Amino acid sequence: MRISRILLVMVCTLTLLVSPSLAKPGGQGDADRDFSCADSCHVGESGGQSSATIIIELDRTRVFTGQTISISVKVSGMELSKKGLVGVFLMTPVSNGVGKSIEHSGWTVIQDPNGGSNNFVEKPVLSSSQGATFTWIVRAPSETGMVSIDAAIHHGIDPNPDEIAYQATSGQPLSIEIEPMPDDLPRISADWKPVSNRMIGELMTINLETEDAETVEVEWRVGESGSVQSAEVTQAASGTWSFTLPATTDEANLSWRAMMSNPALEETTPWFTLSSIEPGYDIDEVALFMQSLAFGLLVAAMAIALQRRLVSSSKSPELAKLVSTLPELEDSEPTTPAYGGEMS
Amino acid sequence: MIGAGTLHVVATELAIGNIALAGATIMLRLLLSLREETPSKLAEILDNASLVAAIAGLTAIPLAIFTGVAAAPGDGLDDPLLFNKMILSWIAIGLWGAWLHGRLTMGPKLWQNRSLAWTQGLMGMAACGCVLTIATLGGKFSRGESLMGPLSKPLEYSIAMGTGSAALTLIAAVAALVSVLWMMPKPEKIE
Repeated sequence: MRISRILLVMVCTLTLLVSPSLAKPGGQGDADRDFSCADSCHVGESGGQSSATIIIELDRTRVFTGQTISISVKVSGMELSKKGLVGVFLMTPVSNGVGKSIEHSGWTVIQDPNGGSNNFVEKPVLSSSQGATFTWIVRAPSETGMVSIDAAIHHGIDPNPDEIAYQATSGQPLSIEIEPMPDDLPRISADWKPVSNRMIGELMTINLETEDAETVEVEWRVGESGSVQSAEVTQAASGTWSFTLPATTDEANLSWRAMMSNPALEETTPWFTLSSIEPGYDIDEVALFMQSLAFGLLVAAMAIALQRRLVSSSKSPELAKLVSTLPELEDSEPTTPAYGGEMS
Repeated sequence: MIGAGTLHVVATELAIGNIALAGATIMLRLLLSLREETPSKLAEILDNASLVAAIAGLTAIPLAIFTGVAAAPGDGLDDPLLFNKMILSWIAIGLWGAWLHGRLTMGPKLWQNRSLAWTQGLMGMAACGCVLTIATLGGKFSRGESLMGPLSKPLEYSIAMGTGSAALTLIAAVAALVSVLWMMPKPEKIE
């Protein structure tokens, strides 16, 4: 009875020691997300206001309908969690507490900062003061007129005893006038999608599809600040251009852009990013199931064998006899065997 | 339509809840068996609770495995963490199967034999540890964090056999289990 009371007190104490936690220090993952506390964070009224400075920039001054451009969001000055993970939303300006994905206002995300096509991405940031730049390549809406885009940040803090998220919007949505596309403006085909990654050590041939382009030149560089090199471009078919980017020996990023022209107009694409990744983990699932099942059966066989061995030992008459004589052996005086003699 | 991910959450919660209960009750039953000459009422309750929880948990583990495979993102089990989760899941099934076999064949009085109690108790706790490790690997996979902290690092790597080697190992494992079950003397209920 006393033991059961002690156990009950121990269990209750352990239960009270566990604090509720809502934090997501590993992040939420890249996704198409609306910026709202109900959907994208666990801030609620107990959330924190981020100290971040958020600046939104375009790579050009004029934007035409359906044009491929890049939008950069520079964030700095924010608090950082232990992992330094920072999430950034590219979205419509906040209305009724919700900032919707930029795709709700007609934009199409072609390449996000992590190589996907999401409006919310997370990246580790090393230094709060230096901050980081998140660059999206997007296709402009097909409708003309003024559109506004905004960005928001979502991150933790270290230490974070209250386990709350910190967030902020830029406070100054960027207004962009979408102009009608000029006739014959060289451009990337609306159906074309960039390749965002390849294996380390692998050459990458890219087939670029264009419209109204008579010549195409391609430049590439390592990372975002390497020296700019030219790639050899061949016309594979009408409106299809082929070029090969060199392999890398580590997980370095290459970035490339195309300069398209016709006798009347020229157009330069944003810098697309091509990441080099290690070969994926590939396994035959049938082999895995057999291996797992084999290990399970082996462990069961060993465990049952041990049980049976112990049961048979405990029931062994010889062993029982031996055990029963042990105290006598300890207590008895050493004796000389009746027929004892030296062993030769 | 309910997604495989949702079903996996249900199955894992069933498995983890029952297995955690089984692990705790087995540990307490082992402690009592080391203190008590004759089992108290609490010892009997712990023994029954552990048996029921182990059966429920063992039933839920295969459900968790199959829903987990269906819910895995990408092309199948393309991550060492998922690989190790699968291996540990079947090892846990093996250990729990052996634990139940021992408990059901030898009866509740096995706890009064010290060596058998130690074996049964440690086996149950190892099986429980396997399942809890699987759960922390799930956290590592989906959220990038694990209760095991740096100890989970080795589980980010795996040693995968080829199909031929795996088939041979499976045959050897089946042979070992059949040999143990048929050739070793069957334990009787301890009175």
